[in-house]
Amino acid sequence: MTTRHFLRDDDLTPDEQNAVLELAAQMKADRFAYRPLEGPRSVAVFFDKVSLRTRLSFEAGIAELGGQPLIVDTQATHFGRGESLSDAGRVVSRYVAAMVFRTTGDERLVELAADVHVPVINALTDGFHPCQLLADLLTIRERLGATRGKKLAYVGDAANNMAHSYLLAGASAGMHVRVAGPSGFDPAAAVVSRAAEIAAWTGGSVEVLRDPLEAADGVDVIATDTWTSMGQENDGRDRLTPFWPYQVNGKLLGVAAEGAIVLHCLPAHRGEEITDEVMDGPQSAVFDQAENRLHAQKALLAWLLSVNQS
Amino acid sequence: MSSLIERWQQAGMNNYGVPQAAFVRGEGAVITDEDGKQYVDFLGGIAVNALGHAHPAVVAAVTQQVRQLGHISNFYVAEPPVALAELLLALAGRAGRVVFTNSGAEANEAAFKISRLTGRTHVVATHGGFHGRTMGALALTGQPAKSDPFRPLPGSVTHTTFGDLSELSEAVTADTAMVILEPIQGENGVVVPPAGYLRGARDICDKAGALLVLDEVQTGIGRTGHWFHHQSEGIEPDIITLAKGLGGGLPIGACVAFGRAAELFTPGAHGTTFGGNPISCAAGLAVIRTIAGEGLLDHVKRVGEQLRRGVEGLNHPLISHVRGAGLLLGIVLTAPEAARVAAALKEAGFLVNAPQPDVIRLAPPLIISTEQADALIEALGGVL
Repeated sequence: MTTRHFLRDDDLTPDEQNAVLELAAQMKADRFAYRPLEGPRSVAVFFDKVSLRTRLSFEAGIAELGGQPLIVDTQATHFGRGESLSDAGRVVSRYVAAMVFRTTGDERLVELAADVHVPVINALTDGFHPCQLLADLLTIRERLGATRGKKLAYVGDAANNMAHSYLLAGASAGMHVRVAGPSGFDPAAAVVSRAAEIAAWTGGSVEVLRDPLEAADGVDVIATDTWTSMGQENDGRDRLTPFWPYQVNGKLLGVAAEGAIVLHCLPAHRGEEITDEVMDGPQSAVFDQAENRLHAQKALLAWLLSVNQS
Repeated sequence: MSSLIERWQQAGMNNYGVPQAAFVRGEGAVITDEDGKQYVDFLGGIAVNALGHAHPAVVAAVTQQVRQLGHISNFYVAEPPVALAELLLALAGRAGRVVFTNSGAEANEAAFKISRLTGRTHVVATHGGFHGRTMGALALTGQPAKSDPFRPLPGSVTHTTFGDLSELSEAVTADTAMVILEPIQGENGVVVPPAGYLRGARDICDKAGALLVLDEVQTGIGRTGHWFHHQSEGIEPDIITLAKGLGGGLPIGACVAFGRAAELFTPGAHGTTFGGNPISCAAGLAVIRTIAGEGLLDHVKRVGEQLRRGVEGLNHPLISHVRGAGLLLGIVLTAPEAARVAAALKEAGFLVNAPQPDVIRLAPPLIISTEQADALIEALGGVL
């Protein structure tokens, strides 16, 4: 049997995504009732990049599932140095029930998972941030009752992993997804195309726009992310001038639907991509969103362990 | 009472030659002639019937739309053309604009006119390329037998050898408005250019400031296992033209433009009475949603590979090789016997065609089954 991993958002079918989110809601409602890692079985969580929410939500979540988290700062180990990631993955997979990896290029994640017979989870790459999207979709379901048919606008750096994950996961959830960013910061055409393919199937839709006000017009959810993603701090590109029109502020929120919510995957650069007024305002769901990383990732882990056993 | 073919000979203009058969019914990949004989359709109405005949999704979409709202003219707008335009742009993965037409030739005419609005007039196309039979599209078509009787043709068009980047580079100048290419030349016998040709063409156009127009009339909408064949090379054309599979049997074409090319048409610059008709657009939406929902892009790649391997595996001396991609395949023969083989396959209950004397083209519905593919391979082995 082929091992099921979660390397990008579209590794879950729309029905599977729904099943994980249902399970996440149940796990949130009865937080300590699920113990699929009882044993305890271990889950290795590797970080090529620093992390706060991802590290702690996985560490706490694995413990709450009855398991033992093994948190690894890859800079302090031989992981991926001196041997191939594929070899490292094969070794570690003999110790643990699952592996979680935060890294740079998606090819590193794919290489790690190549010959591994335990599930591998993407905890952020340059291309995608699919665990974050499960948390976001859970938050949307909680706040708005459903995802299907809801309109979401992602504004800001439309070329980054969050934009890509909103496209794929939003389309899978039957949402109408618009992304808008300045010229030169467009999402990868192949990702948009794949998202459109999924949307054609789920009844959602996908649009790439330039004008942030057009994108936010009448939407139920406005989402944004930092203008300078991890690893881009010193790339020399001016990320302030072109991005100012994309700031999520009162004016932008004003064109969204009444009762629209605002998402930000954090950390937020207040005063840049989002204002205090919005971040701390009544329509902000960002702290629920941050909490939901825990519940969504627990559900994902439990679901992957279950399908890989069956 | 005379047959349909006899009646056609009295009433129809003689521009297609005598029809080879008269059909009365179709379901899936099987069509039935007026004598009740059934054929497996490996030509798909020349790459048109993406979902085969009478697909329930197309039937339902068209029936519902014609009941709800039919033609309204382009003074007004309805949901289906807007939704289809948005979906095509999303599948391309880029922001842009769409103008709907009735056919592939008309889509290429639109691209031709857009290129003129750049202020340049010179166009580069390719020998063997086929872009349609209307006068503008015919000028782009690089098949003299089709165009010579109608000269003089519009425009200043240079034809270069398909697949030859150095020739393309020499032909494209600062006066060139557009380069138009098929990613795979369908009508010329399913001719595949060398790897990197499209990317090289993109670079040449970028350097000269010319538009790159890809005629995906035959290769688009899943035919090669990608929504648009150029996506397999990861390049970004300025314009793509579509038709054939887009309507799943209903007449519709589209000229999809990106970047500056998308902004060149202004009110009054172009128009077509039926383009963007809600009924054809509803069919287009049904086609795309069905391809996506049933995972047909992957199916196309799998069955295409099955056909390629099966045909080459016959190891027959008359078969040289199979070329093409997905379900647009050319069986290249070692002798000019394609017409004979096509006729023999028809006798055996399989429809194909011979676009060149030594090439048999396969362009079946994207829903063709693995069993039907196996049956064709077996039949081909029997008639060679």
